[in-house]
Amino acid sequence: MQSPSSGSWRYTQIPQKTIITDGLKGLFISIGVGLTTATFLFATTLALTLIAGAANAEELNDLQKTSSGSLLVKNAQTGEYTPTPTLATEVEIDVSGMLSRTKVSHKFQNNSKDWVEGIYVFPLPDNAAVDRLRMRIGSRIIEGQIKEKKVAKKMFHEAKKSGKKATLVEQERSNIFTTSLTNIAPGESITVEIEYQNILDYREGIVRLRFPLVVAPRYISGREHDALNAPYNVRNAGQDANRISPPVIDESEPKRNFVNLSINLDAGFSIANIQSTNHDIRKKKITDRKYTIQLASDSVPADRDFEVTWRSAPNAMPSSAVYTEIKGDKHFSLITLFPPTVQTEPDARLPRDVVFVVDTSGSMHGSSLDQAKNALTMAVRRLTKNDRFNIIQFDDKTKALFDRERPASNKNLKVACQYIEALTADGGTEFAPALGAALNDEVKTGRIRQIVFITDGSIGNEDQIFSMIKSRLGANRLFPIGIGSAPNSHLMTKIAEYGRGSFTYIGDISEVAMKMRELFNRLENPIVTDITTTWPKHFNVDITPEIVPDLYQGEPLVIIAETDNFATGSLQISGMLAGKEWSRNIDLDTQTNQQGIGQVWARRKISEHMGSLRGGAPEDKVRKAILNLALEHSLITKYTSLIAVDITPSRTTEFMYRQRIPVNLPSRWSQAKIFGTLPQTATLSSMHLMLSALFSLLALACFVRQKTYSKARAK
Amino acid sequence: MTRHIRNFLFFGLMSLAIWQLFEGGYIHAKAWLAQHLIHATWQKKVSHNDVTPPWPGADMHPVARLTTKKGDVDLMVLSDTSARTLAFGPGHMAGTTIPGDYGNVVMSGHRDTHFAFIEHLKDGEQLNLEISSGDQKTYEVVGSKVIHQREIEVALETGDDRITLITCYPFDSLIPGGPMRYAVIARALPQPYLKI
Repeated sequence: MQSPSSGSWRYTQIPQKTIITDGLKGLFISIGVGLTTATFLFATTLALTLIAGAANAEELNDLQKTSSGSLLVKNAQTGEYTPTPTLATEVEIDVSGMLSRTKVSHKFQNNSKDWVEGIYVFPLPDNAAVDRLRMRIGSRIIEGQIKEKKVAKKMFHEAKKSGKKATLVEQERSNIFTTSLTNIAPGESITVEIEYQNILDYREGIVRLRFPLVVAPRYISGREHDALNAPYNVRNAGQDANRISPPVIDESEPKRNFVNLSINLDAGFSIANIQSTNHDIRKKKITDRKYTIQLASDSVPADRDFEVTWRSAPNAMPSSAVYTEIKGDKHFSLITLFPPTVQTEPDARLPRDVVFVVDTSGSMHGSSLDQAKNALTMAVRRLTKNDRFNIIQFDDKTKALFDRERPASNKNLKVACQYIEALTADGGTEFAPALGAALNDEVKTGRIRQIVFITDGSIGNEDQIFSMIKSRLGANRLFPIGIGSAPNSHLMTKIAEYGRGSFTYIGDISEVAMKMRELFNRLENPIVTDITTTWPKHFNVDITPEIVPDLYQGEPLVIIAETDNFATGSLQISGMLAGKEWSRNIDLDTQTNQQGIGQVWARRKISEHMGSLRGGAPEDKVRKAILNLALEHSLITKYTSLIAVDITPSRTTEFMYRQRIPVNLPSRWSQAKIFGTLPQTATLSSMHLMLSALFSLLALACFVRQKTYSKARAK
Repeated sequence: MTRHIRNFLFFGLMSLAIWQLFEGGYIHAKAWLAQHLIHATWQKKVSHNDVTPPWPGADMHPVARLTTKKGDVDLMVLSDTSARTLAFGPGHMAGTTIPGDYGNVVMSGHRDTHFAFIEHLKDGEQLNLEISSGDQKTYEVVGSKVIHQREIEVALETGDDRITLITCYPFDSLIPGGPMRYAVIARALPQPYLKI
C-alpha cells in the first residue's frame, strides 16, 4: 500500500525550450571538442571538455525521448507502508488566583504491526515549571524521577536495549520539550502525563491564560553576524535545529493530533467577562469567582494556540495579594501588587523617538501581514508633532523607510502610510541585522527611544539575539508585538524583559485596535521606576526578580520570595511614580497555603541563572546552581530531565523501529511560503570550463593564422 | 606591427583560457578536498564521539554518510543546504526527518560535483546511509522525477521511510539558477532498527 501523498507522483514534461538550447549547446561543444583536439597547448582543458561533451551527447538522446512522455518518471514500486503512531492530547488546567496547575496527557497509539519507538516535540508556556511525569500502561502507573540530563539519557538507552518501556521528557528550548518513548508494542497505547505550574499574565485589568498547541517550523538563521560581538554560543546558533523542527503534515492531508482542553477556574475575585481568542468555548458558572471552561467542539486539531482571558468585576480586584507555601523548613511567598493609575496631560509627555521594525518574511504571508499593517498604521497615526519615527522592514534583508528618524510631520506620515501599504511578505527571517539597525543610534537627551517590532517570531537563534540586546540596549526600550496563530512567546517575553519593555500578543485581526491602544497607553504614560523592596530585619530572604523592572501603566508587580522563617511583619515597596516618591506596605501574614509557589520560585531563579549565562557567567558555576534548584524542586531544565522506566522488560526477541510524530502546520500558514523553494544546486564550473575551451580555440585560430601569415611572408 | 597585435591577442586569449580553467577547476578541487577532510572528521566522530570541526573555523558538520552499494560513491552529508555548505558536500534539508530516523530524509547537492551521480541512478540500485552512532540503513531507488523548485511536496512527510536526493536540472545547463530540479526517491528496505 502506498501513502496518500506519495501516490500522486507528477509527470512533469520537460519544457521544449530547454531541449533546443541544450541541443545547440551540445552541437557547439561537439564542434569545440573536434577543433580543440588539435591544440597541444591545453591538454588538460581538452580532457575535461571531452568528458563533458561525451556526457552531453548521451543526455541529449535521453532528453529527446523524454519530451515525448515519461522516461524520467520511473515506476513507483509499492513499498511496505507503516502507519505513523497517532497522538491525542488532553489538557486539564486548575487556576487559583494568579497561579495555574496544568496536567497534559499525551496518548500515543501504535497502529503498526511492529514494536516502535517514538519522539514527539511539543510546546508549553514559557514560564512553565514542569515537575511531574507519569507513564500509564493500561492500569499500571509508573512515576517519573528527576535526574541529571546525561544520567536520564543513559537510563533511557539502557531500558531501550533491555526491552523495557521508558519515557524521557527533555527540555529543548525554555518553551519546547520533547518526549521520547520506547518499546511500544504493536497495537498498544501508552499515556504520558506531565504536570506544570505557572504564573498567569495580568495586565490592564485582564488575566490571560495561554496554552500553546503548535511548534511552528522555525527559521534557523544560517549566517553569523559579525556586527554582533556576542560572546555566547554564536557559532552554534542553529546546530540543534533538527531536534526542534519536527516533521510537518502535508497541508492537503487532514489535520492530526487532536486536543481536548478543560479549565477549573477560581479567579480569587468576582469575574466579569471570560473570552477565548482563537477557539469557541463553553463556560459554566459555579459561583461569582468560580467557573469551568471547555472547548466547544470536543476535539480540535493542534494548529493554533489556545488563549482565554477574564477580568474582574468593577472594584472587585484587590490592590495586593500574598500567597504562601510551606515546604519543609522553607517558606515561599508570592506577592502581587497593583500600583495606582495616574492620568497625565498630553502636553506633559516627553517627546519620543519611535522605531517600528516589521517582519516581512514568508511566514508573515496572509492574514499575519494584514494584522501587522493595521497595527503599524494605527501606531504611526498615534504619533504627535514632537515625536520622530522610522520604519524598518526585514526578511533575509533589512530595509528602512528613512536613513534616520524623521519628525512625524503630515508629509512624512503620508509617505509612511504608503510605505506600509506596499509591504509584501517573502523570504527568510534574519532578525539580528534589523535589530542591530534599530539599536544603532545614540539616544538624544530628553527623548525616550522606543523600538516597537512586529513579528510572528519564528526565529531560532534566540541566544544570539538576547546577547545582542544585552550588550547594546543602552537607553533603548523594546516592545515586541507577537502576531499570528503561533508566535514564539518565549522569545518575545525575553526580548521584552532584556529590552525593559513589554510584550503584546495579537491573536486575531479584530483585536488589533484594542491591543494597540493598550500598548500606546503604556508607551505614552508615566511608569513606576526605581522600585526597591525592604524586608523585616530578622528575615533571610532570596527574592526573584532581584532587580525589579520598571512598571508600566496597568501592570502588577509580582515578587516571589524564599524565606527561612514564617512570614510575619510587613514588606515595604517604594519607588518613583510620575516623578514623585511613592511607597506601600504589604502585610505578610497570611492564612492561605498555596501549593506550587516553590516550583514557580525555582523556575524564575533558574531563568535568571540562564540569563546570567548569556551575560557571560561561567557555565559550570551556573550549571551547578541550576542542578541544585532543579533536583530539589523536581524541575525539567536544560540540565535535568524527567524519566520513567518500567521494571519488567516487555520486548524480548522482536525488532523495533524508530518514528517521529509529525505536527500540524499552524493554521493560516502556507507551506510554500515557509519552506520557500528547494535549494539551489549548481555551480559555475561548467561555464568556466566552457569559456576556457572557447578561449583556447580562439588562441589556436590566432596561432594558425600567424603561421600561415609568416609562411606567406617568407615566400 | 600586426604581428605584435597577433602575439598580444594570442597570449591574452591563452591567459583568459588558463584563468577560466583555474576558476572551473577550483570548484571541483574544493568539493573534492572538503569531502576528504570531512571524511577524516567523520571517522573520529563515529569511533570516538569526537566533534572537532573538519577544518578550523568550519561552521557546518557532517550528519550522515551516503554510499552506493556499488561502491563508486562515498559522500559526507552536511548539516544544512546553504550555498556555502553545498560547495563542500551535499546537505540535509533542515526541517525534514533526521538521517537515520523513520520518515522522509531530504538531501540536496550540486549537480556538477557531488550529486552528479544521481542522474545515473537506476531503479533497484541500493544506497546506504550511516549516521554518527554507527547505525546503518539501506535504501532502494524506486523512482525519479523532474520538478519545479516550488514543488516542495517532495520534501514533506509521506508516511513511509525514504530518502529523497535533489539536484538541479537540466544536468548540463551552463548557467546555474534554473527553476527545475531532479529528485530521486529511495525507500528503506525493511530492516530492524534495534534488536535485543
